[in-house]
Amino acid sequence: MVRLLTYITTFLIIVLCELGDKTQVATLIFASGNPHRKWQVFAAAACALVTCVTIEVTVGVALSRLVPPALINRITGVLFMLIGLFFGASLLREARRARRARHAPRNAMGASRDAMSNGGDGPASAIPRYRQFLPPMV
Amino acid sequence: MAKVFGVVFLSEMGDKTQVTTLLLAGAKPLYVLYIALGSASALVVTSLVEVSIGSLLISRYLKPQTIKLASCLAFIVLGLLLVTGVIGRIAVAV
Repeated sequence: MVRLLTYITTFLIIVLCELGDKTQVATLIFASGNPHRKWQVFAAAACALVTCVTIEVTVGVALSRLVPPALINRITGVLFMLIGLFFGASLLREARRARRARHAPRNAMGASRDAMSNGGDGPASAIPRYRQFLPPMV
Repeated sequence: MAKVFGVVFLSEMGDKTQVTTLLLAGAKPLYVLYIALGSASALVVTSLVEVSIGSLLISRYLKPQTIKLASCLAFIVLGLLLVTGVIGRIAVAV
């Protein structure tokens, strides 16, 4: 029971950590660039991550010999709280920025209505044909 | 594919994911196997999700040139942010 609980807890924590992680972004970029080799990319990324995990748990077990696990728990708790607060603050900042950008004045074409716009070149001039019916590219 | 291995390995080195697993393993040294299995399976699942998103969504709706340009920029920007310490911080002084 404890073993299953440890497994599930670790799984959930790591999934939450990895969601917006730079490691994930790197894997995403490689998979986008090599769609014909996506399983090779997946295999390479999985091997790298499993190697990292073996290193991590070795160092972790060695660390537990030096530092009592209770202290490690407290440090982990503080760290997690800080990470959560930091993440929440950045999310709030993003939401505020997105709200401000959404309320910026825009004309019918979606371009920002300001002195820099050249009056519009026509309905399909700026976008290639294959992009016309898809959502605007970020 | 050694490129993929190297990049993922290096980006995971000082990552908060790594420190999390490290601390978890240190806090429960008796259940190290289950921590290792849980962490490895979580990482594999998330990389599976990422590979699917990257190969099915992004490579379908963007030109290869655009993808390459975006990758270049993304790596440069990520590198800058990491070097200046904006992202990848393990502990934060709020």
